[in-house]
Amino acid sequence: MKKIKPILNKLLEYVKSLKWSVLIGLAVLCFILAIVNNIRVDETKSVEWIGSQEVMPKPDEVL
Amino acid sequence: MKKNIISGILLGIAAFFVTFGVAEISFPESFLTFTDQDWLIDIWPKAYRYNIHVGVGAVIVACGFIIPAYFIAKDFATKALEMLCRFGIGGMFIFASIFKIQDPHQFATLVAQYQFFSALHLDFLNNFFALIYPQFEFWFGLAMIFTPFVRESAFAIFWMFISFIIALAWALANDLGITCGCFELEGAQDKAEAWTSLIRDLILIWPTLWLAFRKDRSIIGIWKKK
Repeated sequence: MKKIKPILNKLLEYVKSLKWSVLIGLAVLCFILAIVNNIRVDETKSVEWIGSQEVMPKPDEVL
Repeated sequence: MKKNIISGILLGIAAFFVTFGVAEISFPESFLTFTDQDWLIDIWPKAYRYNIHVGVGAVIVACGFIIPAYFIAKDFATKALEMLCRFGIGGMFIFASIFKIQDPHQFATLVAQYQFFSALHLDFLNNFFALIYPQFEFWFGLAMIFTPFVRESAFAIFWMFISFIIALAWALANDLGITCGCFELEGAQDKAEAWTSLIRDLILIWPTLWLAFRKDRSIIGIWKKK
């Protein structure tokens, strides 16, 4: 435990040293652009935000 | 100056081998792959099976050039490596995202094949993930090359690599027999490709981690004197 604590402290220091405004800002930009992109693409290529696609059957012969 | 030139040449050769290795691992059975060249197949029909061996071998050879380059001119080599890693990893993420951004439906289908969210009873998140993730790849890849925020973008890309590694390990552990879907949106047919993608990610996560601990500065800023 004594050995782990300084490592954890350093990790915490590192995480604190990051510019979170940049990370969050980019994440928000990604979210907005994902919405725009889903509207921009053809209807056949867009998807519902909440949901999933069909799972295809596993091929008989996996290479 | 002379030392810098020698170091630069060695790093240039190393960059070639890394690019060659990553292409070999990432694009099996394509025109980019050495082991799938017709002339080689004519001589050695089973050559295409050894793309991963050739790819990993190329990365090891690259390390053989990086180490002397570093010891010949430490400061220059560190700066050059930072620049090359930023271009390489950032560029790879931008390239990987384009197909997915263009066709969210097909990427969502590919994500669903992993059955990862289903196992957590969160399969409703598949589409959400498929819409958001390529944007993350594109913008953080772009940020790694064109902005000074290398620590932040490398930190984000590091966690993306972790998620790829978990997903690919999951697919292999459950014998799903699916493609990685990293650079193309093809069907689920090749188990070997998941292995190669996993190995590629396990290689590329280390330079990303290194970048996450570098100073925030632009690509031009790397070369400015302190």
